Amino acid sequence: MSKDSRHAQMVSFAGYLPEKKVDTTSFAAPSDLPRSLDFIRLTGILAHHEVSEQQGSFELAIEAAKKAISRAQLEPASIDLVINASVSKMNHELSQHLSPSYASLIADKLEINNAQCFDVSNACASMVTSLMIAESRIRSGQAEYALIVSGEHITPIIDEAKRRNLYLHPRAIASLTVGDGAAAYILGPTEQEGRIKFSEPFTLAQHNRLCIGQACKNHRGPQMRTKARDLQNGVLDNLGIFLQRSIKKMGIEWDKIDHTYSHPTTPKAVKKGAKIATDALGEINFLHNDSAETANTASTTHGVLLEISHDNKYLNSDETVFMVSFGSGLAMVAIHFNLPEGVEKWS
Amino acid sequence: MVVMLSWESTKIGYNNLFKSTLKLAKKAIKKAKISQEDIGLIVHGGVFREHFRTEPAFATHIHGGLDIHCTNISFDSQTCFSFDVTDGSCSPHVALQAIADLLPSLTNKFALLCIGDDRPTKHCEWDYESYCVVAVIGLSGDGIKLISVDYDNSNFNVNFTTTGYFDDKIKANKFEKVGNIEEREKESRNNYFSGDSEWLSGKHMHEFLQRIDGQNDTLEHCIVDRSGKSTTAKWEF
Repeated sequence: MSKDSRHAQMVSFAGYLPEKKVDTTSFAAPSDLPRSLDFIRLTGILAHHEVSEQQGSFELAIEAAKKAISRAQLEPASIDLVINASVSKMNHELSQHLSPSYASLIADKLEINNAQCFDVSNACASMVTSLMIAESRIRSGQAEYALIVSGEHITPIIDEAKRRNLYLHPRAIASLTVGDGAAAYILGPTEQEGRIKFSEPFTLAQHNRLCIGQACKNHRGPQMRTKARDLQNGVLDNLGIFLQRSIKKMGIEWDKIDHTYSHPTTPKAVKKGAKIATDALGEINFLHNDSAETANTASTTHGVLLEISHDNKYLNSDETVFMVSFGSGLAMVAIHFNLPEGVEKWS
Repeated sequence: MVVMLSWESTKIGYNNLFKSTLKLAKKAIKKAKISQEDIGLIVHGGVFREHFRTEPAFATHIHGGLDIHCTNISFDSQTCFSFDVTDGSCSPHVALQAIADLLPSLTNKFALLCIGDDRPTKHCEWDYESYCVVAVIGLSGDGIKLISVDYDNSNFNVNFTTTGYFDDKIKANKFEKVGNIEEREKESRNNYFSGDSEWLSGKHMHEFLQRIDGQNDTLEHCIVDRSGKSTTAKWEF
């Protein structure tokens, strides 16, 4: 494959949710919240999934990666780039992995022995940022097959928020919108141009202090503090023009997109975003707003939603997918790709 | 791949990374004879962040601190994109590669490479010399040219890790290092430089930048992480 005719494509993807499902009413009933807030009505989140006792970000990531590798029908040895996009990197004892890269540990477990491995950190936009890097590596011939993977064990921030008096710590309320999950993608080479395209990536850094995740100072585990309304407004105020610029730059037609996925901060927020998108570009063919029972699984959200769409038999070979990603910071980036051949036959 | 057009580095205290990075970035941008508005990408590489912060990316704070295109999106507004990468001490090379990967496709063709670590909490034992390094990277121009970055996993030991944890006895967050490879000391000869395996990313880059004065031809810069994995960047002068 000559350099000019070398491009990248999505070979496979997978999402994984741990078995344990927790109803929102069990921890965020109106009686638990300031001013008897109706959390379910406000967010549309009915439930989320949580890890089992022995699971952490790593175990989740491995589950998704194995599924993606199997679907790609690849030998692990043929993967020469592994990027981890997990923000949490949290084990079952709530310790945070720091070094070397989490990707190195994931590759070792999967017996991917000769791959370059590193981590990308860009909040919930880490996954699409990683996909951009992997696509470039494959297109330039520096990599053949890339595994981009993330496991997010973030529900300990729910426990942290529950320990707080939410009247006094209203910025902890957004912590109740998360769930655990994992996602993995395999990218590989193709001679066909345009099977993966990216928008201009934006960081609106004037909003970089609206959502902060870090270790809790006086208790085991992480915490997150979010000015949720300001963050949502930061996205919604820019979404229409962002989408219009993205569609133009990517050279795609809005009405030809088969499947659209947004980063699901909450199902209600996605609806608001969809209205803006519709006003700016026209009707959305198929918006997959299916996070009511998974919640926001950070960097893994799109992969989890793709898996749900696959389970529902909505996805077919070569159809087009448009995914919009947001991350605190505030990152905004979109990816457009063709679904892999044979996706409808995957188990 | 890319060209390092200018660079600045300095030793910092326990948690001066943010302020130092901003200061050095302004100097490096001036030295490169570009304006801040020309920056289209900011990539930070490091391991330790204040309070073990996980989000947002440290690079977004640098981005905001420099006030680069911090406006709402319009049809003709310019863009800058920021994120972090990490792979132990090899982070500088990974960050350079990420810049080389993405910069050609961006509208603004200059990037900031930012390297460094903060002591996460005052309870963490910190026997490191912490350095902050900032470089302006372009696709061409006068500077040192990055030819390639190679990696070597052959000595990687998966058990040699660093982990942040909550110490129940003192009710505070610390980190612990597990395992230790055979210590590898600084090695410097004509066309090759490699630092100590216990150095942090910032010191690796700082010492490399001290080494390049008067260099001609090529220089290979090898970073061996304490996990045993290594990266080698080949530079042309």
